[in-house]
Amino acid sequence: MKVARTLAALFAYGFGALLACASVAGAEGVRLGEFEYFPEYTNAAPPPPEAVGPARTNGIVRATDSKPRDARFLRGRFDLDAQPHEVYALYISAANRGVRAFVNGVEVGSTSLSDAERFGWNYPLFFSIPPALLHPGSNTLDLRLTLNESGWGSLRDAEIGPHATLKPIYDKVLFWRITGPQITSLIAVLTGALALLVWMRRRRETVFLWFALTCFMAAIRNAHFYVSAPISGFWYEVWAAVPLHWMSAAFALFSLRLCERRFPKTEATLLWAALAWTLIVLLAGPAHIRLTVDLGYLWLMIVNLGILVFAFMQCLRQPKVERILLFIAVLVSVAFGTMDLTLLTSMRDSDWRVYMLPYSTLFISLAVGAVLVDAFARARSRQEQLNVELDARLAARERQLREQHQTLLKLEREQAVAHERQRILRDIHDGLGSQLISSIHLVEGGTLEPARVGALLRECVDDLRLAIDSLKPAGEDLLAVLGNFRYRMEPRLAHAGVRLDWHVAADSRSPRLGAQQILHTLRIVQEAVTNALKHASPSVLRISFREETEAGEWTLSVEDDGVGFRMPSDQSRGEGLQNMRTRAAQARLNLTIESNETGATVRIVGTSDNE
Amino acid sequence: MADPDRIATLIVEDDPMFRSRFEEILSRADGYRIVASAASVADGIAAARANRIDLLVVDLGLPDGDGTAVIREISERQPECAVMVVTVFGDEEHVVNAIEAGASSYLLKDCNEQEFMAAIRDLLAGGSPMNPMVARLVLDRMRRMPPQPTPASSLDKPIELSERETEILTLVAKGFSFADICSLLSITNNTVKTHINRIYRKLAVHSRGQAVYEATRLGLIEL
Repeated sequence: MKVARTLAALFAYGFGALLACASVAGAEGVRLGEFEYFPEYTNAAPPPPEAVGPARTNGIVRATDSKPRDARFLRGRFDLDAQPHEVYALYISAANRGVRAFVNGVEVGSTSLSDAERFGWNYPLFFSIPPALLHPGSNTLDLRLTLNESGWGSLRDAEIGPHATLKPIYDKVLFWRITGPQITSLIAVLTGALALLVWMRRRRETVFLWFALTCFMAAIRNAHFYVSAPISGFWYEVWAAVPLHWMSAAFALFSLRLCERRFPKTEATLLWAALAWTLIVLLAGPAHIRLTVDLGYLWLMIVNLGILVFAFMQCLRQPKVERILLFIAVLVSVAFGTMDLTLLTSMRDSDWRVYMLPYSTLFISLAVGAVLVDAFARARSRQEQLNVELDARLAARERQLREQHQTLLKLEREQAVAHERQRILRDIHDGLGSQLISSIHLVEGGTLEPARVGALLRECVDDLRLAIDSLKPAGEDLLAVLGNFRYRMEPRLAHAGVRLDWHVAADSRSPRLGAQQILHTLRIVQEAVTNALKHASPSVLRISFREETEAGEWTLSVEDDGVGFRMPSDQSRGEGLQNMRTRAAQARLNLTIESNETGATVRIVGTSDNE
Repeated sequence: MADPDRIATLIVEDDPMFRSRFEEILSRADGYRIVASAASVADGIAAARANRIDLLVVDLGLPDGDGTAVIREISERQPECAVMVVTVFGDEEHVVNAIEAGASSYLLKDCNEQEFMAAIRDLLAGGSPMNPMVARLVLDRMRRMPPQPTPASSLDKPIELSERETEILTLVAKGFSFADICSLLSITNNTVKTHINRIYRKLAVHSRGQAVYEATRLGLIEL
């Protein structure tokens, strides 16, 4: 609302200033309201001084049987009390065609250097008069007025007076009639370009496109107030009429979009009508130009009244800032358009003859521009607020995810612990447990001598140690665990008179294996060593580790030079072998067992990666 | 009055069966004199303070704390004392902790009398055992050394393993015996033992350096 109020105040001020200035005009000058008219005189030079025009006119004449570029003389007379000492001037508010001015028979100025027509109809004319040309008593002013195609010529409000008095009036009128519309065109083009840029980034918001089109059409149309060019009258009229149709259609569509309403049929009708009027004006040609343009104005009046009613209804429905501004803008432009029409059709007279419609363009541009900027700013703020909310929500979500992740990690850890616990339990149950139970049976059976009991228990302790080794921090290092096994077994082997051959390359690396795989591997090695000691009576036991390839394949083998065995024959040995195979399968290791009379070989092949 | 020529031994072990077994073995062997047999950290420290000790046989898991406390006490007050740790399963973490506290040998409890006495004699002769998993842990710990472990004033040289010591430890960690290492590196058994012994001492000094470093970092002490 603040924007609207400011704009309204600005506009009222400008308009008020305009009216205030208008009342000043005409002081001290001699205004010529009536002219003698020479309908038959067609010479380039003015009629002789003593001739008196046969007809009277207020400045508007129509010659019958005129040819293009024909001209007629209008003569005015004015009295001076004395020979003036200062420079005088002739000020003509408006003339529809070229004018040449003569004072006491001497030419003082022309709208063009040649006889070529200029269409600067809206420009005020101003010619200096040397004081020597004037004399006390009666003086004559001859105005040679070029006629249009229909034989019409018109000029309004010729005034003769001191240069110093008339010049400010001329300047002010020039400003409001010419400079003002130029400024409005510039502003309309800039606002339109801005809207077009916005639309190019946001194609779905056609409100910007229609607004841009309105602005561009207004800029083009308003140019006919200030562009003076030697073009034919027909094209000049087309220029004044056609953009206005497109501007109205675009403005109607813009209004609908601004109020977020859609009437597809009406919209299509408006656009088709603009096209139709364009074609009608062009096809009907110069002969009917007045009729087609005037009928077009009638249609435009209907359209603009329609927009006015629509904007009013929208204000009633929902009095939002942009709707109220739109309504005021339409109201102003309809009012200004009506004022212009009354001026054009001479229903209204004005000293300054300022056409107001360009100023409504200015108002619409500014008002709507303000609305769009406001909407943009609000959208920005909303987006910023949304961003803040989004950030907060994102943070909350992240926190939640982190918590979930923590929970998941905890669960995973717990599961890993549970797995490990299960593994240890199974190991204790299958290994140490069953061994202890079988030892108890043997001891209770009384068939065992004490030394044998000690050996059995030692086996239990060895078994337990292997399990514990595989659980230690260094337990993931196969070579270290294997080394520890050797460290513990070697005294016993030495005691049994077996030499241990240890074949591990000094620079070999431990394969990456899980604790489970390492334990299985160790158990297989332990089983192989125990088997050899129990059954094969070897003299040398050879344990070797080799890294086969770059791919991480490794081979661990236990060989003895004992008596060997035949697979199915020995019951307890068979169980041991089966045990080894089961472990190898569980640890996804490749196990081969070979035996002949010169010894046995147990070979484990694995890869680093098969976790 | 005790015989000063015999080795003054302190036994710290809470299990009465093991304690009396150690006492029996040592009293059967020549040249040992049991100064005291303690069953707790407190008693052990009290005995260590009251007597000159040549040999400490200590268990790590004691009812009122960790045996390393006794080791630390002894190695600070009587650095010449040889410390033997006895553990049930040779838990390497604890063994290395004990070495860091000042122990220079360790032994499994299930060893027989010959093994026990062999280890004691080896220790007193300046030898220290080293098994693959302890070697790995030592390597790990020394690798985790801070960039500036201790100020140069307190120590002549930075505490880090020499190339040869690292090499020996790496081989031990891969399961090579001392004899294997001797032939692999073309050095004598005594040289290996010297190296291992030095590693023990470095580990102890290193751990103290680390403690000082950590304390400095935390602002506990000013240097």
